[in-house]
Amino acid sequence: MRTARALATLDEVELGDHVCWRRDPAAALLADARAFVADGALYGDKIVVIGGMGETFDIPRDAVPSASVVLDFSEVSDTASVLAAVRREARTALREGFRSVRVLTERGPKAAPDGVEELLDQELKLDQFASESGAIVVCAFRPSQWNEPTLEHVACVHPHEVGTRAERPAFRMFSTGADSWSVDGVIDSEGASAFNAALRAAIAQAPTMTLRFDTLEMIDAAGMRALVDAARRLPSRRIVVEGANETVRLCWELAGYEAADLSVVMGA
Amino acid sequence: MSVPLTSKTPAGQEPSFRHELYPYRGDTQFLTGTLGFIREALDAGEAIIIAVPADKASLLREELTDEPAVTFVETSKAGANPGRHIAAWTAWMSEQGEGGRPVRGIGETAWRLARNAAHLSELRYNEWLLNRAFARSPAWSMLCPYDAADEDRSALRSVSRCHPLIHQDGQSVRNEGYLSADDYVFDALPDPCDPLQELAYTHGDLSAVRSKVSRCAADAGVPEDRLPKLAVAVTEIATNSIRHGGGRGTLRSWTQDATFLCEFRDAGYISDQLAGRTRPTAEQMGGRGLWLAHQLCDLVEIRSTRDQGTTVRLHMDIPQ
Repeated sequence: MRTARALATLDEVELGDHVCWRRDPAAALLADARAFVADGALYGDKIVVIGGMGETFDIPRDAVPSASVVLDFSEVSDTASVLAAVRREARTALREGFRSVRVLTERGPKAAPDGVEELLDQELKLDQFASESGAIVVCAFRPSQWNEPTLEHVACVHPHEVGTRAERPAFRMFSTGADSWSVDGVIDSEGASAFNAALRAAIAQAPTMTLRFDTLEMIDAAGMRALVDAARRLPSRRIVVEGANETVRLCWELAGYEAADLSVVMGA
Repeated sequence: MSVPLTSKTPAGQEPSFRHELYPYRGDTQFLTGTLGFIREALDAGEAIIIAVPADKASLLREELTDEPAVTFVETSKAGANPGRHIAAWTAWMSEQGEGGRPVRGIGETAWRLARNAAHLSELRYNEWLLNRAFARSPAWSMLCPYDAADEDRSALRSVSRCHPLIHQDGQSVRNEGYLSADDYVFDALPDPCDPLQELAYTHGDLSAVRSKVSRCAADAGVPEDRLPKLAVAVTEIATNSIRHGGGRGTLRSWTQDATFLCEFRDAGYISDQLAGRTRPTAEQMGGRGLWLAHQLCDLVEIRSTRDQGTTVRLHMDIPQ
C-alpha cells in the first residue's frame, strides 16, 4: 500500500512515488534535477522529461543518458495527450529492459491546464500512472511563479513531497488502486477547498470511487461538507468511504449525514 | 404575587410551551405531583416522556404499568453535558409526538450530581434555554421536579428563575421571579488556574492549535481515546474565530481539579443563543462547529457580547 511521506532530498525517491517538488531559485532546481537524472541512469531507469513547460530543464544533452526522452509539448496540451505520451514511454522502457521510468516535469502556470480542477485532474491521473506502473514522477514547481492557494491545492494530490514542511498541506489524496484513493492527514477548514476540488476531479473518472480513510486522522465540519458537496455535484456517482476511524465516523453521524439521502457511504 | 393558571390555554390566547418547576419534598410529594401531571395528559390523549433519575423512575414505573402512552428515556444517553439536552428532548418529543400528538415531558435534572460550579451553571442555563428552544412548540409542555428536601432556598431560587411556571398545590402559577429578559445573566467565568498555556492563532494555525491542545490535554491526563474528539472540537472553535471572530483569536489551556480546559477568545459575536444545541440537518450549510463541540466535549461554556467578543471554554474530564 502506498503511503504519504516527506523526502529530505530527491535521492530518497522510490518506485511509484509521485513527488511535489517546490524549489526556488531556478539554478538550484536545475542542479537537483541533474542529480535526479544521473541517479536514474545509475538505477537503470529511463528518463522522461516533459519539456516545453518551462526552461528550467534545459539540461545539456550530454548531461542526460542517451536513452532519455524529452516530450516537448511546446503548446499547452490536454491531459489525455500528455498522459498517453508518458504511458507510451513507460511501456517502451519496459520493453527496452529499463527498471522503470523517471518522469521529470516542471509545472508552470502558463502551460498548466485552465482552472485548478483540471490541473488537479491531470495530477491525479499522473498519480494513478505512478501507482499502477511503479514509475517515479517528479513534478517541480517554482513557488514564485504560482499563487499560493493553487500550489497548496496541487500539493494535496501528491503523496510525496521534497522538503520538511510536514505541517502543510494538512492532507494528501493519492491513488491506491483502480478507482481507489487514500486520504492521509487532516482535513480541516483550511484544506476543505482543496479536498473538494480533488474529489470533484477524482469522482468524474469513475461511477464509483473508493475513498480510503485509514490514515485520515480527522475531518472537521468543513471537510465533511466538502465531501458532501462533491457528491452532490455528481449525484449519479457513488463514493464509498472505507477505513474511517471511530471519531471520523462519529462526526459524520453527528453532522447529520449518516441518515441523509447521499451518494456517500461511510464505512469502517 | 403568583397568579394561578389552569393547565389549559385560555380562549383567544396563543398556546405556548409550558415549562413548570415542581419543588417537592419526599417520594410521596414527587409521586403526587408527577402522577397528577401524567393523568391529566393521559385524559387528554397526550404522550408522556419521563426522564428522571433511576430511583424516581422506579417509583413511577410501579404506578404506570402497561401504560403505552408513557415512555421512559435514559437521561444518561444525552450525556453529562447540558448542551446536549435540548437536542435530546427534541428527538424524544419528535418520536413520541408523531402525527401531531401533543407531548408532555417530565425531566428531573440531577442537580446534586453537578461535577463543579461550571457544570451547575450550565445546567441552569440549559433549563432557561428550554423556554427559547421550545417557545414555538405549543404541543409540548414540561414538568421539572426539583428535590427541595435539603431546604437550600438559594439553590431553589436559582433554578426557579429558569422556569416561567411553578407547579404547587396541584396547579400551575406564574413565576414572578422568572428571568424573561432576552439576555440571561451568566455566572462570571472564573480566572484560569496557573500554570496556563497561551497561543495566539490566525489563518494557517489550525494545526498548531490542535498540536498545542493535544499535547497539554495528554499531559493533563485526558484519556488517549478522547484526544481525537477534542482535536475536532478545538478545530471547530478556532475555525469560528478565524472565519467569524475577526480572523484571529487567543487560546489558553489549563487544568483545574479533574478538568482540562481550553479557552478560545475572539472578537466575534454569537447572536443565536441556541447555536450548537440543535441537531443539524444534512441540507444545512453551516452551524455544525458548536454542535460538534457540545457533542464531543464534557462541557462547553459560551459567553458572547457585542462589546467584549466571544469566549468559548471546552471542558474535558480527567479520570481520577
